[in-house]
Amino acid sequence: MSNVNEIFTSIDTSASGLTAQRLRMDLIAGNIANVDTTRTPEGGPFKRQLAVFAAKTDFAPRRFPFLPMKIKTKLGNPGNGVRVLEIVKDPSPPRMKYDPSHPDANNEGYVAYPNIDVIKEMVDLISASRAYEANVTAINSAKSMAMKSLEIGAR
Amino acid sequence: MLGTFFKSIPYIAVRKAIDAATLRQKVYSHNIANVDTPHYKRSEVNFEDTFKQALERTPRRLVGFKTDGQHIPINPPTDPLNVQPGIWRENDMFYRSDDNNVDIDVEMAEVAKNELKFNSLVESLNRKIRRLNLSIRGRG
Repeated sequence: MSNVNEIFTSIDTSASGLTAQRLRMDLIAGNIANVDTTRTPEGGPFKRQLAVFAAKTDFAPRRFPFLPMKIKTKLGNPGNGVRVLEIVKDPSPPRMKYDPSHPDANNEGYVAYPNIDVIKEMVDLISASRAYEANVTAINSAKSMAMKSLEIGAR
Repeated sequence: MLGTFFKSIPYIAVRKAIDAATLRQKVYSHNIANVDTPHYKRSEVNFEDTFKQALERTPRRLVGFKTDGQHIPINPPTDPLNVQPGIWRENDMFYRSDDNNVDIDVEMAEVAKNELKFNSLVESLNRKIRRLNLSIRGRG
């Protein structure tokens, strides 16, 4: 078993978490910046953007519908972190606000604003930032273990 | 002489435990990276219990008695040398609405514990090597 590589891959695993959480923070920043954007190149108001995360593992977690789920499953190897599968647009309907003087108002005088709730975005931002910090802590821990292992046999 | 040192159970135990701690660090990193992945289930490394069982050589299950070399072994005792750390996915424990069972506080505590354990194992290995060194060089 090559231990040095093991430590480095564990840093890579945490780094994939850093990348994913940073992308999520970027999307949240974009959502907050566009909270009042009513015009986009594809027409209509801006749509809230979300990142879809998936675990980087070799196996596909399967559940057989008729069998009871085992409490524990043996795995061949640890996974390699997380990846962003895709960036999806929230399909929920836009916020309708009555503002007849707005140039994008419809015939009844309502303007379609993006389906973004700033409070929800802020909560997501805190969650992403905390998850980012957790990955940083894991990297620091792996680093200090690698440094400690250099002391083996040294006098 | 050196062979007996490198084949002694305390040396092998520490070496294997260091391997297990390294693997455990990797598995916890994976859990932490997937703290926001829907339907993700946390994994855990199991080594100490199986190694202890192998050391004690006390079988937990029914063991087949062999009267002939060609008998099929039934639950033979494992050699401590062959014990490998195993990775297990925990499918139970639902408490989040996204079907993910990673508790970030538990994972952070486990990472901290694992780091301390790793450091103490390296320290213990170092002391063993230092004693071996002393026995080679003598005090002079």
